[in-house]
Amino acid sequence: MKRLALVRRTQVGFLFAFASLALMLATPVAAQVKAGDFITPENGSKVKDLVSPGVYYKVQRGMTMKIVPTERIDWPPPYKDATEKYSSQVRLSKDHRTVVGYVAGQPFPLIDANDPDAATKVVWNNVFRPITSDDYDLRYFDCDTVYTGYKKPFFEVAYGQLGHYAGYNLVGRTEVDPIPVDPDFKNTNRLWLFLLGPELAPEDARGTSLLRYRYADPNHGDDTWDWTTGTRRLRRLNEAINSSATGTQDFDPDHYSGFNPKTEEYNYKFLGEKEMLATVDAEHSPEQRCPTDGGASACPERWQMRHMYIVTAEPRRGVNNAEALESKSVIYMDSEMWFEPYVDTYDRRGELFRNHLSWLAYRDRPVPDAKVAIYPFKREYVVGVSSTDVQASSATMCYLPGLETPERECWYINMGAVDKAFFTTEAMVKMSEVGHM
Amino acid sequence: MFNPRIAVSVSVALVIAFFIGSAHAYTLGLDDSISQDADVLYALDRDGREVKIAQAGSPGPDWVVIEDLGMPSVALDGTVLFGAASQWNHQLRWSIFVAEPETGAIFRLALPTSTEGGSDLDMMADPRPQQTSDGGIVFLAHESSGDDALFKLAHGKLKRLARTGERLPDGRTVHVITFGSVRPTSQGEIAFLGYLEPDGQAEMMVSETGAITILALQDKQLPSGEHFKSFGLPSATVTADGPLVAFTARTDRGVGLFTFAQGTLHKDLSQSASCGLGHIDYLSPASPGLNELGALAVLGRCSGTMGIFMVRRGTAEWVVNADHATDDGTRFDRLGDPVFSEGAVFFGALTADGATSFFNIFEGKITQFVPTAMPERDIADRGSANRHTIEVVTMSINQRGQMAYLGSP
Repeated sequence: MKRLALVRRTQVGFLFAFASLALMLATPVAAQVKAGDFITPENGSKVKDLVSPGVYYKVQRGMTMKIVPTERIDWPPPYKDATEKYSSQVRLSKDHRTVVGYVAGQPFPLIDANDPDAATKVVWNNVFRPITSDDYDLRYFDCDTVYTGYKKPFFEVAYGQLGHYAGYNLVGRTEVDPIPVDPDFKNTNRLWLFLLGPELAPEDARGTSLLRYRYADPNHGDDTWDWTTGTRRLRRLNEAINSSATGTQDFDPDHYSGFNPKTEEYNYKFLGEKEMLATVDAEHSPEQRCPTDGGASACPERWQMRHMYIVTAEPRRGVNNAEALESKSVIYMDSEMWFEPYVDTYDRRGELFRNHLSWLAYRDRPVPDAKVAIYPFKREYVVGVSSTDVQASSATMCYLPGLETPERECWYINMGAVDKAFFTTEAMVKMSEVGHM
Repeated sequence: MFNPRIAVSVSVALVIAFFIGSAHAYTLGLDDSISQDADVLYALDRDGREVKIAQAGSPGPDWVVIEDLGMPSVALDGTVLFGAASQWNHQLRWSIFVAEPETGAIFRLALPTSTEGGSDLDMMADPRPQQTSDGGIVFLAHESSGDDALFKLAHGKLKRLARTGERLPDGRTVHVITFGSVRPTSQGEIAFLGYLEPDGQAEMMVSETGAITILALQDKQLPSGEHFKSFGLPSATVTADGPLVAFTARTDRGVGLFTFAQGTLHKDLSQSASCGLGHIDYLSPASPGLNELGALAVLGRCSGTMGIFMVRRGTAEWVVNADHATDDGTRFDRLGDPVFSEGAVFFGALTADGATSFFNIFEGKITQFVPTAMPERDIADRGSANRHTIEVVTMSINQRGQMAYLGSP
């Protein structure tokens, strides 16, 4: 009986969430905002239909927006060339869950809302997205964890500083040799490698690191290891923990840089496409702490109308993903930049749980005074990212580059700054034990 | 008792065992396909028996380990052409192979280098070789100079038919030739998809002499007033009236199916076209089915239901409806794109019970068409229910119904 009630409540929650979203998509978007508008909690209702429920929560709690005209975002030329060369031969596999014939670039540049596989294609485009096709090393960044509220004074519950947020892709490489595939892929089946750490602050977590491998085999879950200060031991993690935030912060590895869990462990639905607000060309890098929401976001920042695809991702609990924390993620994907400016997640009762929000800058160098990471074309950089638990009102806001870190250049994308040797358990342990890189 | 001859035999057996073992234990397919389901290339011989041609992770005919297999094609005589990648100098690079399913013979194609009157190639991606009617082989490859080119190998000579950077008579430049888009006809013309500068994406056709014709161009206005936005892969054949190229495209008024023949572009099906239950609302961007009589078949969606349609006089007629079962009760989960062979429409599909198979439609009847025998290594285990899987999207079929495809070991 109790179980039945729970099921009913879950169903009602789902129905309500879907009905709300359907209503939102069906509502004709009038020009509620125009360039030059400044959005605050007082006039925040103007953007209610132009952002996700999670972003609207943040607006209501003090995140301000400067509305600017829509801008065209071009892909890095090598990625664009690879897309034009190779995308036509890419197909979804026989079960329509993975891809066949992928070489490099974007696998599915043409998204047709009437295509029954549109949602899965959007998600695979997100896997091989243009922002970092080969490798990336984000050196030194920091994060504040706070309780958010309108005009709430900044009070840091926790401060974190990290040495690296780095990745290496073995497939779909377009700028750094080996191109387009690292031969190691054929031996190990690893699609990408990722390392976060070592944690440099707070002192009691110094050295904590996380290493993660993603495999191409649809049936091979991610391998994840961590090294923690207390035990001083390498530990292999259950895949399910990647959907949980641990420690005094709100990020979970499955939502690092947007929607990031193993692709084949979810079912996807295409909810529609819509003009919505997002930050794709931030004014500030480094970002600035929002003074009006307790430091839970970057503001005021430039927001512009963008064409977005909206996709839900629900864990395949009966097949290969029984323990995922959330009931679903709603992904809002920018159709030109091909990065999700925000993702909302819902708990198992179907209620809004967390919002993951990214602020991106579009420029030829991550910071104006960059000396190394300078490109002959503009590309996107994530300069700020927040994860907000709307049920607890807590938020972790990360600044990339950091506000209080020694390294200001921060992002090194597709420069060969890290190689595969950087992403081993041995290297992670060494790095963690000495507490620096 | 353990004489040198036995020692050599044992050594060879150990080497073979090592390679076979490594295939299963360490090599898990991908590169050209992110799936273990595409690790083995199969073909059907004349009797319909399935023959294993090559396997990723195992040595090829020259004892170099094949790391990856590309999409196969089947020549008119049943010869199977395919690309395969091996590791060279810490890079994965592709070569072209030719296999005879009847005899089991397989060899790597030697391509003349620039000093031999050919070109210095750096094959970074599957070249997708296909045979032409005169016995030549066309393929797409990167050159060491950095350009990509469409080549034809015939009588030991390598001829470059089209190349990126090539200037057309109208002043446009070929910017990109799209891999996987090349479709030869039996008269020597080759249709392909690419990008021109300026203007953008274009359906093109190149003749034996290298003359390029633009069939359709992005943003070009059609007589109906609509503009092309993007193109699907072409298919090409020769009818009594000459070369015929078909492709789906998206315009600012929705999707459509177009044909190009005798210098004229024609819209054969539009998004609003009638399809029995309602109107067409989606067409697959893959190559449409096309035969020498000009018949067209396409995968699409009619008022929310996926199906395969024959296109006649601007309307789409259902031949397979994803909601219906076949005559033997098989229900479809997902349908693949149709191809014509021997006057019938063939297609691959994932069935509701999770199996993949090939089907054909002849005189309105849908028949499940699966390889009639197990691969050689499975013959001893005929009773086993653990048949390998088939990646139906890799199917290639010639005009005599001979097939090749990738599948699991």
